Order: sequence, then C-alpha cells, then structure tokens
Amino acid sequence: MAGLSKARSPTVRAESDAIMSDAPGASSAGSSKNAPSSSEGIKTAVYNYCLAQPKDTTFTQAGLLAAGLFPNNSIITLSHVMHQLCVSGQLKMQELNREIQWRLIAPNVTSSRIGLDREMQLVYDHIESAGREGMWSQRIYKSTGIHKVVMDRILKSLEQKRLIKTVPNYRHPSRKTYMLQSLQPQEDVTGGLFYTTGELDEQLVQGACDWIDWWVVGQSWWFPPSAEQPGRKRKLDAVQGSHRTTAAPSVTKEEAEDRRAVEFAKPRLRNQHMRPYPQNYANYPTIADITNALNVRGVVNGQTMKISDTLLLADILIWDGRLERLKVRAKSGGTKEVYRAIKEPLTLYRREPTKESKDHIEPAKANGLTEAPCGRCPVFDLCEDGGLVNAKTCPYFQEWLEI
Amino acid sequence: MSRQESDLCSLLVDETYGPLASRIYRALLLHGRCALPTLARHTHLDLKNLRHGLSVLVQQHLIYWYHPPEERSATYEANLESAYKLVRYGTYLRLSRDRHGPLAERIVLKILVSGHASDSDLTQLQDTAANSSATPVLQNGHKQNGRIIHESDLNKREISKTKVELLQAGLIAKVHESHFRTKEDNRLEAERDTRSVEDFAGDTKKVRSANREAFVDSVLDNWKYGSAVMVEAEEAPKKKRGKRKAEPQEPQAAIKRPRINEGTTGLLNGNSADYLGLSREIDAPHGDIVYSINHAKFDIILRSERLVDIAEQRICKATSRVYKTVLGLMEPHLRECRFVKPCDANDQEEDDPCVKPVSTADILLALDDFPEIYDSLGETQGAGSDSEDLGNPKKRRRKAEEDSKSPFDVDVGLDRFEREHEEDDGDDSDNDSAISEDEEDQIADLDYNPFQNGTGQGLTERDQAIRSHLLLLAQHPLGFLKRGPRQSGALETWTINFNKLIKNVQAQAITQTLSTRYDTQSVRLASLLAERGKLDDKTLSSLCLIKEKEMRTKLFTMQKAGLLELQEVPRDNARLASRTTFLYFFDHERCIRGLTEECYQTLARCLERYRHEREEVKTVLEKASRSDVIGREEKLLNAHERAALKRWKVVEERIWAQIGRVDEMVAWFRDF
Ligand code: SF4
Repeated sequence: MAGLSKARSPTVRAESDAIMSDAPGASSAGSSKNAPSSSEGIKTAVYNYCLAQPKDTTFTQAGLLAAGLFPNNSIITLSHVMHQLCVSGQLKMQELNREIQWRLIAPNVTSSRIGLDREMQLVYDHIESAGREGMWSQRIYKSTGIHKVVMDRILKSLEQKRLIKTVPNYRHPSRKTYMLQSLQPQEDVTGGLFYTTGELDEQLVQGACDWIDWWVVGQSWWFPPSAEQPGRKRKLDAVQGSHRTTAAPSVTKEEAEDRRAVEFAKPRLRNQHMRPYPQNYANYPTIADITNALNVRGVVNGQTMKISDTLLLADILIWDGRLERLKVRAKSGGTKEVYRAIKEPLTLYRREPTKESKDHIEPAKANGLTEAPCGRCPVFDLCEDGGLVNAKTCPYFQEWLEI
Repeated sequence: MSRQESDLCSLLVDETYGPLASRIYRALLLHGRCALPTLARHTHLDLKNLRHGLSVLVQQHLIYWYHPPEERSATYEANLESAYKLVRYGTYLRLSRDRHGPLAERIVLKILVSGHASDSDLTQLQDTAANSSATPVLQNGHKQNGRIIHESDLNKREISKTKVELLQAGLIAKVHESHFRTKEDNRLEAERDTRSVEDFAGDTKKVRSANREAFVDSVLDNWKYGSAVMVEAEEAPKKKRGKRKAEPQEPQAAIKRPRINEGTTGLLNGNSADYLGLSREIDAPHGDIVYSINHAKFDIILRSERLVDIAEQRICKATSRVYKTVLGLMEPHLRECRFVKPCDANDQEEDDPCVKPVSTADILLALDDFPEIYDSLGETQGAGSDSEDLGNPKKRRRKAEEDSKSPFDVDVGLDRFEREHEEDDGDDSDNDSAISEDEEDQIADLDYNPFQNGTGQGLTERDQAIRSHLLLLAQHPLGFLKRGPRQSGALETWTINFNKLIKNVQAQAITQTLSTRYDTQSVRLASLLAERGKLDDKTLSSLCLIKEKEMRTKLFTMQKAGLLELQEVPRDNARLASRTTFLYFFDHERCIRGLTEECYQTLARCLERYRHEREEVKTVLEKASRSDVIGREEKLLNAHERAALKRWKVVEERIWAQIGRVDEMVAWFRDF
C-alpha cells in the first residue's frame, strides 16, 4: 500500500491508460457474486476491491456493478456506499465525459485529509486534479466559488499542513501556482533545465552556448599542426580521425583542448588557423554528438541534457550566427543534419578575459553602414542639411575623422 | 523614389557637374516629367542656360528625354539610377583596370567623363597621352599599380584591341537611342514602329496580339542590349580564359574617383546640341560608333567580386579562387544581376533561367593552377575523405566496424526520442554498403559522390582537388553553388540560384547591422522571427532563452527602428489591450528598404561633410594647385598649410573609403 501511494503520479496519460484498462478488468471480475449484505461490510468490501486494482484506476458505476459487490446490484446501495466512502475521504468522486467516476485516495493522503473540513477538501481536490501542472490561485477561486478571504486562509493552512506547495511558473512568474507537496512540477511549468526557481538562468545558457561553439569549432574545422610542436598534432589528428572522436575524453581530451585553445586565445585570429574539411567529411557533429559531449563534460551544472535541450541551444547559436546547419549524407543513406561552426561569427567570445577587457564578448565587426558615424547615430532621423543637427557641425563626424 | 534617394542623387549631380546641372536635375526630381518651358519656369533659368545644362545631363544619361513625333517638344525626366552610379565610378575604374589593364581604365574613364565616346574620341586618347605622359587624373592609378604606360604603347592598335576586349566583356556597349528614354517610352516607341496586330500571323486575335507582344519585346531587347554585342560576348570567354589574373585589391581603390568637373566643360560647347534633340541615330557625324558604359555588366562583375570575398570569408581562400573561376564563366551570359521573371518573382527555389550552367570540365579548363588547391582543405584521415570513398568497400566496412566498437558511444541518457532520431539519421548504423545509383540520385541535391557517376571517372588529382572545392561550395548553406540535375551520360554542371544566394547575403548584412547597433540577442530575435514567422512573446521567450522583460525592450527598440513589425490581433470584439495578442514578425523586404534608405542618407551626410571639409581648406587647396607651387610645396607652403593639406588628404581618403563601403551595402540591397 505504501508503495502504491509513493509511486502515485496522476498524470493525464496514466489516467487515460487507466480508463482503457478498466473494461477488461471489469469483465473478468464480473462473474463473482459473493456480495456481503451489511452496509459496513459492503463498504469494506468495495474499498478492498478498489485497493486491489492497479493504481490510478478509475471506477465507473457499470464497472462496480459488474464486479458484483452490491446485493442485487442495487444502484441505490451503490450510490449510498460510494457517498459514504467519499465522505470518509477514502474515495474521490469526479466527472469525466458526463459520467461519474471514483478514484481511490491513497491511504496516507486519506489520513492527511481526515482533519480537513469540506471546503478544504474541495480545494485540495482541485489542486490535486491539476497534477504536475499545478493550479493558478485565480483558477481555484473561480472553479470552487469559495470567497477569496476564506480561500486564502484555506490555502495557508493547507500549506502549513505541508499538503500543498507553491511552485514557480516560468511563463507567468507573478502567478501563484499550487501543487501537491509530493509532486515534482512539470517541465513546462518550471521551463526545464535552463530555469532555476522559475527564473531563466542566462549565464547558464550563455556558458553552455559558448562551450558548444568552442567544441564544435574543433570538431568541424581542421587545424593544421602548429609550428611549435611539429608532428604532435598531426598524430593527434590521426588518432582523432580513426575513432568517431567526438566525445572520447579519455583518449584525446587534453590534446583536443590544446588544439582548440589556439583560436580562443586570440579570437580574431582564430580563423587564420581554421581550414575547411572536404564536403564528404563524415565527422561533423550531430545534435546527438553535441549532447553527448555536453553530458560527458557535465557542462550544464552536471545535469543531464536531453536532445531537445541541446536543440534549443543549437537553434540559438544558429540565430546568433555562430553555427550553421549542414545536410550531409548519412552512412546508411538518407541525410542527416550536422553542425559546423561559422568561421567568422558576428561576435566572438573569449574563453578567458584578456588584459585589455574583462568582457567575454569581442565587439562585433561593423559593416559599411555601421562603420560610418551616421550608421550608429542617435539623432539620425533629425539630421538634415541646413537643420539644427547637420553634417557640418556634427560632433560624431568630428570624432570619427580625428581617430 | 524616397526622399533620401533623391536628396542623395541631386547632391551627387551637384558635386560632379556643378550647380547649374543640379538645379535642373533637382527641379526634374521635384516636378517629375517636364517639357522645356515648364522646366524653365520651375528653375527660373533662361533658355540658353537651361539648354546648356540639359545637354550635360542628357549626355551623362542623368536624365531621360523623349520626343514623340506627334508632340511639339521633348520632355525630360530625371534618371535616379544613373545618378546614383556616380558614386560607383571609382569602383568601375578599378574593376576595368584589374581585369583589362590600365589602358582599359583610361578608355572607361574617357567614356565616364564624357558620358559616351565615339571611336574617334577614343583614338584621341593617344594624343592626350602624347601631350602629357599621363593625365593628372590617371597619374594616381598608374603609379599605384606599379605600371607606367609609355607613349609608344598607346598606339591605335592597342586602343582598339582593348576596346574590343571591353566590348566583348560587355563593360562598354554601343549606345542606342533607346538608352536615353525611359522603359515606358521605349515600349511606346517600339509599338509605334511595329506593324498592327492584323499583320501578325495567328488564327485568333489573341494569338496575333501575343505574337505582336513578343515581337515588341524582342525589339526592346535588341535596343537595350544590342544584338551584335551579345553574339560577340558569347565567344569572349574562350579567348580570354586564363588571362584574368587575380590582382591583389587595393584598399584605397574605393577613394579613387574621377574628377569630372574639368573634363566635361570642354565637351559642352559644340556637339551637345546633337543630343538635345533631334537625331534618331546616335552614330557620330563621321559614321563612328558611340560607346557608353554598361552599368548592368559592371554590377555583375562587382557582384562576382563581392561573392568571392564572402566565399573566402566563409570557407577559405583556395575555394574562393575556384569560385571566382566559376563566376567568371557565368558572367558572359548574364545581362543583369536581377532577372525579373514575368510571373512570380518570389519563387525562391526556382532556378534563374538566365544562369547558364557551367560544366565541371569547363571549370577545370579555365582554372589556373595554384598550389593551395591541394592543401587548403583539412585532413580527414579516413573520416570520409575522397580517397576513402574510392577505396574498396571491404576496407570501409572494416573501418566502420571498428568505429562502432569504439568506446565512444557511452550511454549518457539519450532518451527514447533520441534513439528514434538517431535511427532516422542512420548515423550510428554500421551498414555503409555502397549506395546504389538511384538512391544516390534521390539525394543528389544534398550530397554527391562523383565516383559512382559516369562523370567523375578518370579524374586526375588536380581535378579531384578542384572538384572538392566545388562540392564544398555547393554544400554551404548560403547556397554559393548548386549542382545541376544529374542526367546519366550528361556532363556534370553547376549553376547558382542568385535570388536565394543574394537573399541570404542580405540577411547576413542585416544581422551584422543589428549586431553592431544592438547586440547578439537582438540578432537572435530577428533571425528567429525571420525563420519562424509570426510569434507572440510567450513563444518567443521560450525559444530565445532571454529574460522576458529584456526581450520586450529589445523587441521594442527594433520595432521602433522599423526593423521588426508588430501585428495586433484582438481576441474579441472589445479590442482591449489585455485581450489582444501581439505578434512580432520580420519582413525581409521592408527591412532591406529601410536600411537602403539609411544608406542613402548616410552617403548624403558623408558627401555633405566632405564638401564642408573641403570648404575649410579651400584657400590652401587653391594655393597648392597653382602651377608655380606644384612640386615646390616644401618651399612655398608654410607649416600650417602643409599640415592642413595633410589632414585634408586623410579626411578625403577616409570619407571616400567610407562612401565606397556604404555603397557596397546599397549594391547588396538593391543592385545585386
Ligand atoms: S551627420 Fe552626424 S548627426 Fe547627422 S546622421 Fe551623421 S552622425 Fe548623425
């Protein structure tokens, strides 16, 4: 029983599974006709029957009748008994597709519900029904119809009893969302890996992006052996080439880092060393490779990244103009998407701050328009020949010409 | 026509041809098409001056004029395009010198200065050359290039040879009367000259008028491009192949521009009346042919040059040189950068029918050898290099088995979705048996293996090396190159979908502007919206991983600057702000238009500042250009003047270099 309640996680999916499994269970139990007669006896029998079913099963009227738990299959007895069970907090009634159903309330929860009054139970039930999504306080008011003042008191006492908790909601940070104490909020409530307590962890995102960029540079461009260590790097490439090296840290980690350190020490110069691989190069990293590498190095706070998380980051890097997606032929035929770093990205990131600047971002390279003073001018729209702001007296131009 | 553009153009005309011309030009811009009397009223000029100014403008193609037979007088209209091209004259000179040598530069200069030149005008180049070893205007260019032309070189034969070369390359073209008229007038004229619908063959009236339409189009085409020149151009590449050597670009080249003021005045006196009016044939009095600059062709070669630069930036130098050859092979067949399709010009995927595919064999023939072909690509050491592909399948399979055994694939918590994904990719499967030809064909656009196709067989090492550069170009997401559809037995061909490529490059230019003006996160938002279409801010923030508050300010800034668009979708009839969804989106075309206008304004401000700076040092400049001072500056100018002169040189160079750079952006946004 304890096991049952622990594993309990009423997700929508489990619920629908349960409904599906309802029908065969009912038919198999339908043959037994040993119905007890006393009211208490019936109650216990029904409760035990319910306990014996797989967790999260919902019970319909037809199912219970088919189980033959009630004398003469009387519907009146059934509704009476079920009501009693609900009142005592052992079962819970709900409506689905216009049909009344009951659900078992796990024994330990039952015990925690015992001290609750009717309204509290109502609120508790509502919050419970939202599952791992949580429920916004406004919605609780609306659907229960309890007055706000009363509701606040109820919520507070439920929280004090450690039955419910508030969880941060990253989409609506200002909304108070409640959830049962025992549940873990769903990802679309917390926002996933990159959110801590409902707040986006931008530094984490930035760090992970930088790391991916840096790693992919080494995977998707070839760096000729440097002059200082002739032979060594060439050998390294041979080693790397023979395996699908992407994340084989034990073999080449140190050397690979070594190799990539070159271009990050002097970001602007990095592309001098970068040489493209031929078009049929097979080791451009895929999204799975990147995820792998991230996880092996524990880049994201030691958490395990899923492919969907990495895809999010990869998209960002592409939009930022740091990676590009290529379609190449997979070995088995068909195509696969792989990633390549962009040789001269818009902005470059230093791994280590330099002496000149503590900033990790190198200023972006300007184009023809933004190089000119007018391309960055705050009063561009006001500037006019003969106007108050004009090119002749323009201080920005003056500055620009004097450099 | 935007205000910024017309401001800039009249400023340019003013700068190059003086106040008289610019006054007329400005009036034409302001009032649109005018006849002589109206124009006189608008400009408050007497007829003599007006005619004089108009003749300059007509001669320089800065205005159109048209005199329909049934009308009493001709009408004039400003030509914005050619006025804008004044900015690009310096680039034209550099391009013609780089490609066809110093003499070509002089011919182009001569034509630029006088608007057009006849054969006899060009032969006079010889005389001017004899008088002074090099004209002051050219002096610069020649010395920079390290070559000085000797008088003896400049004989007639040389000149006509270079001229033919330029003609064949399409950089200069025979002038036709129609070049002085607007498109619409030309059509009217062509229709007037054409027989009536009834005289055309065809069963129904519809067919007949369609035939007539086609005939008119071909007439217009002939007028515009000249039939003879095109035929010559077809043969051009064969003769010139291999001649074009890549010359290092000069950074200061952009600041070189013709100082036309001195040049034109001489030409205004006598023969200008010819152009003002009345003759239909533009051949000069002695039956000479008259040439003018073909701007469209210059745009094409300029575009090639820029594209090669980008290829170098994005891939590597060697690849960009291969690309240069490919573009060079395509140039003769292109008439204009932007091919306007009659029906749907939006269809990005469609191939431009004007781009004639070039075959691998042609490229191999045309490419000069250079050592980097061989060693500029990374060594794959068995990770799918060409040689590996060639090797026998057994060896490959063994390698694949080793790969799959390697300790790489540790389980790091790929969930089920990923596994499925992987299978889909087929990445980890070790079955890499040779791919059959028709499977190959299905993915031909994405990946190529030359060695299973008849075309790739028997390639030498050089061929393979070059081909790998071509494949690299074709693989690049910007779309530098596209491999033609594969047909068995046919030669492998390559084309370029310029529409798509240019759009990609434009997008790059936009993001670069955003990243310097704002920051990377703004770039992220803009590219995201460009890729995903309209989005509300909730979806946006979950995709871009920027804090919502910050994101909103960034979006707002960009929207205010006109780089992003916002759409309000009310959810009910009340139209309350709280019940409204705000969708952001990115409109490429609108963004380009906005930025182009900014470029125009920037160019105008640069010019204004330039003129202002010149005004400041006017007296010194005048003194320095006196004949007794030239050559003895040290003695005759005081320290202050020398310093001012020195500063002026820096300022001039700086501003003109910048103008060239901004013009490059305009070219991307508008011309390429
Ligand atoms: S001239 Fe000066 S004030 Fe005017 S737009 Fe340019 S930078 Fe701004």
